[in-house]
Amino acid sequence: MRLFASAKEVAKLSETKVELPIASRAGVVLDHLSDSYPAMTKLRPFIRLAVNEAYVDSDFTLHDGDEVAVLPPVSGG
Amino acid sequence: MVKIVEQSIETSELIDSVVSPGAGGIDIFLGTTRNTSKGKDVLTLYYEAYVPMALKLMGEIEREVRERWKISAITIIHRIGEVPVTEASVGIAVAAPHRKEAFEACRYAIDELKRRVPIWKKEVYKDGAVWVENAEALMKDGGSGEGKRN
Repeated sequence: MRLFASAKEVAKLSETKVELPIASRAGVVLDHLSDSYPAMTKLRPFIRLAVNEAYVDSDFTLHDGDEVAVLPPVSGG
Repeated sequence: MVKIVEQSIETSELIDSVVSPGAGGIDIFLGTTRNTSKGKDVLTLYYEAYVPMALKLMGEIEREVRERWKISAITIIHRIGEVPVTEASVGIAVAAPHRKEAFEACRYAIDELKRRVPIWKKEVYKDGAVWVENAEALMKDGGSGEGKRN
């Protein structure tokens, strides 16, 4: 799992490995983060997820070795 | 061509990258660091990117532009790291046979970049710093990746 910008600062973490049950949904990653970092709860409604560098919905089914990215609202440009 | 760089965006290189004999015009957009934001003095900006995904989505925008408009060439460059006041964080150049296509394609590219490409900016003030959120990114269909809004 990779975290960016405000999500990275809230969790004080840019990258970590997470063990999940087989066929977990991508959104489970956010449950984990909210449990570990209460401050993440406020950010959560605005987070978008990506798996292997493509945006996905939170019900996307994860596979072993997938890279999940936690992406706050973007502000490029 | 799409690129993410850590140094200054050189406008002459940006222009050179799209020069083509079939072009009748080149449209350039530069996004530059402004010294104020919502009434606060901005000292500088820091940009962070999820680089491999950002490059993919910038490439996706380039493909969409080429499908929608008859253009000769397009370059999209984003700078990351610190971008001081007055300097460019993003540069887009579009060369096309006619100016209408160049203007429209350039505008589409910057609008879509701001909406979906995973890059973030942090505004640094005298008394703190804040991660910014683009209004476009907060819309319901923000970043769907298909450019459906047209």
